[in-house]
Amino acid sequence: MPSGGYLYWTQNWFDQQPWLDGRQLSAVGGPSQISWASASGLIIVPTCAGTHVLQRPYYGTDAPSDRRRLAFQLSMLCDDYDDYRALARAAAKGSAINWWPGVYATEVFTIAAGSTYKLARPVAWGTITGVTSTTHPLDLYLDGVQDLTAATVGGQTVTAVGAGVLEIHYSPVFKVVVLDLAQEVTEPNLMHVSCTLEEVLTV
Amino acid sequence: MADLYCKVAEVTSDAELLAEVFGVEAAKLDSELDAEFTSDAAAEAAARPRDLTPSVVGFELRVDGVALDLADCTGGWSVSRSLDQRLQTWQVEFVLNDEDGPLGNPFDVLGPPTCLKTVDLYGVYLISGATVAVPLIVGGIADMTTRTGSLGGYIESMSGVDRGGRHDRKVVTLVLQPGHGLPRGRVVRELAKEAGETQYLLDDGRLCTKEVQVVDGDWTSVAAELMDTEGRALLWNRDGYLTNPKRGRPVGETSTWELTEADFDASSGVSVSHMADILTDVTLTGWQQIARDGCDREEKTTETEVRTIYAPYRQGYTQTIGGYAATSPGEAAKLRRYSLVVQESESICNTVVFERTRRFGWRNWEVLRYQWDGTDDEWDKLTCYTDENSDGSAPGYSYLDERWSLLERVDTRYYYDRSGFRLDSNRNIYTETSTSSLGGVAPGLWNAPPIDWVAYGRGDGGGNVTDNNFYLGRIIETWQPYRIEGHIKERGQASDPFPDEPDNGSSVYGDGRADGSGVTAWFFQPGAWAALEEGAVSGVSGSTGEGLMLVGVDVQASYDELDGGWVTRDVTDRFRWFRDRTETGLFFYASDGTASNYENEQFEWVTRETTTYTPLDEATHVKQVSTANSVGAVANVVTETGLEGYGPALPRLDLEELSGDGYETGEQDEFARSAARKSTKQIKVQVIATGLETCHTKGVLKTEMPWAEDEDELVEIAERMIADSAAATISATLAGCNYFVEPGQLHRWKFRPIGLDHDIRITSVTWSGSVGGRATCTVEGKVYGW
Repeated sequence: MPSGGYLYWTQNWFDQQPWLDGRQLSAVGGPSQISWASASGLIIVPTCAGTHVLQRPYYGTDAPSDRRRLAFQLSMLCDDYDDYRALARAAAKGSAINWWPGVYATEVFTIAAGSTYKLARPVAWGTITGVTSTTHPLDLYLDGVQDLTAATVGGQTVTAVGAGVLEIHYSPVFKVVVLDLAQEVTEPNLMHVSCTLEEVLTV
Repeated sequence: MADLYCKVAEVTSDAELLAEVFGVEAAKLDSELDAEFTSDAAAEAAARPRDLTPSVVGFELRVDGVALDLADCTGGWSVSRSLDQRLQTWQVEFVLNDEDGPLGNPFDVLGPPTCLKTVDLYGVYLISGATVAVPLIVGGIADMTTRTGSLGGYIESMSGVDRGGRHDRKVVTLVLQPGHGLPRGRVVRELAKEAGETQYLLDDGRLCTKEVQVVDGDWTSVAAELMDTEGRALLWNRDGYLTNPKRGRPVGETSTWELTEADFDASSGVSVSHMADILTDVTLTGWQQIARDGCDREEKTTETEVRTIYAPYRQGYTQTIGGYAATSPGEAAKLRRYSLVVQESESICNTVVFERTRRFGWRNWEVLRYQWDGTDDEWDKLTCYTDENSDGSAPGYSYLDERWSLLERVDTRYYYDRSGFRLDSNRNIYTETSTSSLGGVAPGLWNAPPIDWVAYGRGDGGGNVTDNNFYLGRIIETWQPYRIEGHIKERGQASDPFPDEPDNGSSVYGDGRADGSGVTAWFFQPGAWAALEEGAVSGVSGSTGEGLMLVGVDVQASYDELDGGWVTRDVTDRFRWFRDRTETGLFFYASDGTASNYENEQFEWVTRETTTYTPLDEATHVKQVSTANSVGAVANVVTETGLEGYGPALPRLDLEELSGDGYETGEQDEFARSAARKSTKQIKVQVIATGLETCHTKGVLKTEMPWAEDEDELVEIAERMIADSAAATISATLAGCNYFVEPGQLHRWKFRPIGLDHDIRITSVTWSGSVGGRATCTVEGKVYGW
């Protein structure tokens, strides 16, 4: 059922202002631009026969098929001092912080019923205010067919109900570190700040 | 460890798993032989991907069997296995989040934090949701850890070796005598056992007869040299077992993996290098152990001959019952053989076990000269040759002239507690009738160790030797010209007087000694005893005169009653011709005026000499020699005190010490026993690869191969050296990370654009990777063309 957020997708993308290190950025001073990208964990090896073979790093039997770390490029006007302070504090902490940009992540598992698996990031439920399993529900597909009962998720643990290739679309809290914090004043009373929020994984 | 260990790399049909057990071994294996295997085509697909199905590849580190959390494996890793390195190596890195790191603080233990814990490294595939761990190094040990703090972060890098690192520097003592005959693999195993290693899967290889002498020394270098001679490497395999995989030119082997262009990483490619500077001319030297079957007796003969101007002496008269006739002059003196001494000896492994001395010379042999004629009461003359023409006491001889004769033979046989020292059956003639009245050594020594020796560790109690090599005793036989003494008159009862005249028909020699012929005697019989030199005689034919006969036997035995390797008692029994003149009431009267109850001399035990050695302390002992007479009464005692030393050492056969512990089969044991100990000969071969010299400058090598057994093996080694030298070196990084390849395997590699379609002997493999990065497998090998 369509809801708010980005293009009224069935999932609630960008339906709230992003949360950075416990502060929800204000509507006025929030990001003017967010971009993100990921690098594939899949390694492509060319062979002397002109063909290719693929290799993936082994992360254990409960890991997703591919673990892509995301890197967010964040840019915003410094109109709200508290927003600015939250970003400056996150950069100055020297540790990973929570980042909820309001997007969904996707992970794929080959599951066997009853087995448990690990999401690369925890779901945002209970961590981000206003984000619940109701407002931001899982979207599950088993072997390409939507099956919301194919598995259950708590924290980062996926418990398989069905068996097959399971794709999980969920709203995670990203653990990120603030890189490349850049600040500039291009004209009086017009200060920009930009940074890279690079994801780090714990499982 | 398991008695049977086998590994099946790839099963393509049931027939490959068939096993057959022969004969009685089947019963032994009943319910003892259990085998299982897993064959998973998916594992091969993961190791050698050929399509776009990703292989999920990783690495696992276990310390004392506990896998390290993947979250702690934060750096790179590598494992290298190579035929060229005895110890296989590994290295792992961790990012330090705190001073304790994932495994502990090296400052706390002054070394790698894993200390003596086992470090196992596995290659990992994720196959159908399950982890398949392939051992790369099991039972390893860390040898160094390095912590680094830099702009790159805080890193701990730990390196180590395989299980061999726990044993390779131990010093051991193992001595195997020359000719031991253990297979080389067994020798290595014995060395490893001495070092405390309990895991080995060693092919036996060729039998080794070379002396192995490692005394508080490095065992791995000896073991590696042995294996190198065999064309094998010595290393611990990926499962932690000491193994000896083949290296060098493949012969009769099937390839384990066939790889083509699709299996090689194009980024790294495949490189093949051929060298111009190679060996073409190899000269090898060594020493071959000489083996002789059963340590057979070695015979040695020396002859000492004296030639001089001489003429055999001729008697002046021919005596007959009717009188004397002068003889004609004999031949003139001329240069001729005057005397000959032949000394023979037989040895077993350089220990003399038999000696014989024969003396030859000119001699006339005496015969009876007179016989009592009871009718006429006078001495009748008998036919003989003599130098007097009257009824004197000069000897009468059998021959007119001196004859070239065997004058003496002395045989000495030495006995040891060792198989093969029994007297020949045709030489125990006199023991059947002549035994010591005191019992003991004499009768037993001929056929078996005396029973009373058993108490002192000699023999097994059943009259059989026990092969402990100790000296038992010796028998000395002396053969000389001899006349057995008889009697000239006898009486009916002891109370009767002897008659005044000799008995009718009594015969005497020229000196009046009575004839003793008729008694059992042991005249030398050339046919039965030994070949007599051509033209020589050994006495008077028949039994009426002097002949070469057994005149003395000395039987000596040594006892070690303290079982300490020292002689405590020596006993010598002497046997001689004997006529007891001590008793009363005697019946037989000899020509010398003495009486005896012996009709003739008898060959029998006459004395026993006993020497005892009594240690007082470690520095002095008492020696006492006592002599008993023919009835056992001690007739003489000589005591010496304060003699130096604990006592005389009991001689021992200088044979190799064969504990028997090292031999698994009777065949090996017999082989070892039959080998000579120290006899060697130099061997040398030269192998020239003329075909290679048409394209290469001559490459010469001259060296020694101390463990080569014979020239054939030297040739094999030389050929192997040349082949190794001329082999191309090939290296490649595989597209997939194949944890199943390993050094020693034979592969078939095909990469047609560079002309490669050859068998490859894999020499080294390195697996490496990093967290989140690619796991690679780099392989090196040799391509043999010569």
